[in-house]
Amino acid sequence: MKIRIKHFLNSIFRYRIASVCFVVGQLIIYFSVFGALQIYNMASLKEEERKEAIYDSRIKIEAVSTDNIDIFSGMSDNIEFGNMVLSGRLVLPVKETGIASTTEIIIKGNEEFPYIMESGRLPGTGEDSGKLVAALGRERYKYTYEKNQSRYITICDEEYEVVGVIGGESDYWDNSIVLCIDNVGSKTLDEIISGSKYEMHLESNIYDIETLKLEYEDIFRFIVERDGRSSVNAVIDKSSGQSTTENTYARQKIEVNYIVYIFCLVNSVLVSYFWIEARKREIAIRKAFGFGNFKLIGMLFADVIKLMVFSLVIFLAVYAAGYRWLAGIMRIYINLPTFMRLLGAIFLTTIITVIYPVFSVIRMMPSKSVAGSDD
Amino acid sequence: MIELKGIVKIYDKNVSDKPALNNVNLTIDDGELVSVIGPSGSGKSTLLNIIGCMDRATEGQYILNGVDVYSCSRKKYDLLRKDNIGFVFQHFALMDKFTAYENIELPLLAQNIKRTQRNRMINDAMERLGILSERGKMPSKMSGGQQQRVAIARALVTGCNILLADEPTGALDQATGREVIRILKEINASGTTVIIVTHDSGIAEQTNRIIEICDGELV
Repeated sequence: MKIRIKHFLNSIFRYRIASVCFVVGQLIIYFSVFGALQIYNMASLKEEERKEAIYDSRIKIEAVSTDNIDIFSGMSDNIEFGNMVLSGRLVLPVKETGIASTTEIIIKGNEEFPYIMESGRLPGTGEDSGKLVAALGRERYKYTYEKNQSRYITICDEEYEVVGVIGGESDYWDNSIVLCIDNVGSKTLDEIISGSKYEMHLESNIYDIETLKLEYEDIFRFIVERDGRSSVNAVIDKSSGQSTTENTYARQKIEVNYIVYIFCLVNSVLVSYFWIEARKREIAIRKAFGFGNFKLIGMLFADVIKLMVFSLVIFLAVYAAGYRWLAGIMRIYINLPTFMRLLGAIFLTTIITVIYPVFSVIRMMPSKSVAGSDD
Repeated sequence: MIELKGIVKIYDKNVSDKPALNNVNLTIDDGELVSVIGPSGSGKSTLLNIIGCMDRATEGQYILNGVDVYSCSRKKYDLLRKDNIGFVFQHFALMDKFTAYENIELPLLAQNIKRTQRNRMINDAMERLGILSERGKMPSKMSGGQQQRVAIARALVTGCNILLADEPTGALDQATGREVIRILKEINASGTTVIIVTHDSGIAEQTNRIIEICDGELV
């Protein structure tokens, strides 16, 4: 085994400078390819999680009420089917982050919510009675502080105990803040009802839209009874929502990876030029001793692939060694699509890298490079 | 047998119309020991390259062991070279980054010979040339004489029937040069046709036949 590894290393580093330049270029290619693949993966996972979070039956309710009239307390008593959430335009100030953050408030939960819990639970269970509790996405959870062996966050100047962390495979849920209407403080409620314009969602994966329509009629009556001057509109939501994919690509700057990849390809072409120049004599000798063009081209391909495999091993070793540091920059998920795309990138790089050497080999007359005589 | 009929070689018509070889007619029988002599630039190496199928003539016919070389397909042409011809070059033409063993292995790899058989053939050739102990050495760590022996071993390892040597002693001191010629004569004695290109009339005199070439024409 040891001898084989030594033989392998000897074979790829016979022309050291060209090989080292190639490996370095290849490492950068892997960083850009894996970076791009990570963004692809993240975007597709995020989109998958977004789609999974969409209920089968949905009614969007828009209400405009008189300022400072609480139309929410007691609303849950009238909801028997589906889940009801106050969301959309609702933003609440979070002291630790220093900015107002989009918040969802559970008004009623009759069935399982689509939030993916990393740990803990959603607010609103019996044990939360009388307490201010919240569930936070991973990103928001970073801002929490510890007190009495629990984590807390300050929303609308009120201290909320964090009872759950939301987060799936992607970062789709990472900025979520989820409260329950029965477990918010007075200041928070005042902040909510000061808005007067609300967007609520009545949704279900169990009941059809006709059942939700009946449920909506009860909600409509409740709001109008609570505030006679309010207006309420509802629409059946059939859309699949806005895709997060483009947004993810833009935010993660995937084009930087493309540009780096293209630069590295150009670099590979240049290195391949010097590489074949360094090997000209060897190839001419091989040709003089019976190596045909196909065999030589096969040999070049094999050598380039060996260099790529070696670079990949180095890349993975560097990644593994610097995992803690690099995981912040990129996460490598090896699934079938990633693997196929990686193979595609390797294939493209191989083809581009060997174009010039292949033409050199085909054109080369061994007598000119080998003989060395003055005749 | 080697038969050249009306061979003309012009390297680059854009640069010069003067042929490197002009109407060369030559026959060399099997088992001959021949030397080709002539001044620098006379076309000796060009002639050797054409005989060795390393280069194609611009005009003329080349018949090697009864086969019209230039009417062959590329594959057959390569095969003719691989099966029949071994080369020894003035500057050895060894691959610097490969060991003596790997250099000798080269023509066997081209013929897709299996590893165990390769190993046996290489050892036989190295033993014959007295360089078995040098198998793991790089050319840069060997003397000129040793390097030329490696080059001869490489030329012979496939059992070729024609050995072409282009100034085989040109880069060697006299004593080593004499030793190399002795080896080439030994190889010829075993039935291999040997053609030596040389400047040295002393070496030419040791061969059975001298072909003199001047300005691309046989004298």
